Amino acid sequence: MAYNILVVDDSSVVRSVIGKTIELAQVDVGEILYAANGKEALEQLKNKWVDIVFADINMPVMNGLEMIEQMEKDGLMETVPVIIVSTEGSTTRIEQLKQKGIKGYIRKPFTPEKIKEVFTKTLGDLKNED
Amino acid sequence: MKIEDIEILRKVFMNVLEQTAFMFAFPADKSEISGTERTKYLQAYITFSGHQTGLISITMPEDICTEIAANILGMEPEDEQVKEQGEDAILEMLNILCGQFLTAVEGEKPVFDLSVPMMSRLSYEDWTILKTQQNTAVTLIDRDPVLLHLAI
Repeated sequence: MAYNILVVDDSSVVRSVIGKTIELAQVDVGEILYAANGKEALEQLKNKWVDIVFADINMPVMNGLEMIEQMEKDGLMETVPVIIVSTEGSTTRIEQLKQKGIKGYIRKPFTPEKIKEVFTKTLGDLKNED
Repeated sequence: MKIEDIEILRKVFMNVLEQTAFMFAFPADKSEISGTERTKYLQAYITFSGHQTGLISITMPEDICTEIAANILGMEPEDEQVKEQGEDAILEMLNILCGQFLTAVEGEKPVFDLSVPMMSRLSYEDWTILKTQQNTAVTLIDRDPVLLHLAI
């Protein structure tokens, strides 16, 4: 099964790097979609099926936390796993995000191995829940 | 957090540069560094707030920005994508630097809010003033000086 992946980060460099890292991680990719902030991400989610979201926290227009809160209101947090990819180091903040329903957290800078590990674990966990 | 933490900032910068761009920087003495009026200096800065408030900036010649971006993207410096994304690469590196620095100094419990990192150009005169400030440390990437500044 090929997965549609949404990458949300205000940095074009990070979007490129995450996209390339996902390809290097040899996961089964259908399509990689990109958004520069939470608002663009929500638009993508309206128009396209997405299997997993990789999202930053600190973004202009709509940040990662605001995006997650809107996804929660829209019922999307139950069907679309969100992995936070951030420079955030506070365990307090990470715990707050986990309470909101994120499925994983990756701290920047990351390796292809870490992306694959979290990707595989997250989608594997979801298959077990079905 | 105190001004002496500028040394921690320098160490974290060297680690982040290696991890993100596979490049190496070395500590340098300010007295050994001189700039030129011909050099175009770019300054990236980010603010943090919450448990403590402050600002971190990195200032470097424009040419080294391109080289760092190319390394981060795994491309050649002449590549068009690198030309377009050079500044963005530095901003992201600063983002990572700030996060790692705050953890190094304050631990993993406190919550900080980071601003969106910004970029500006710095004149040679301002670069010289910045270099001489107590809360500025210098590293060298090859022979290019990188100024790291911490304001709290």
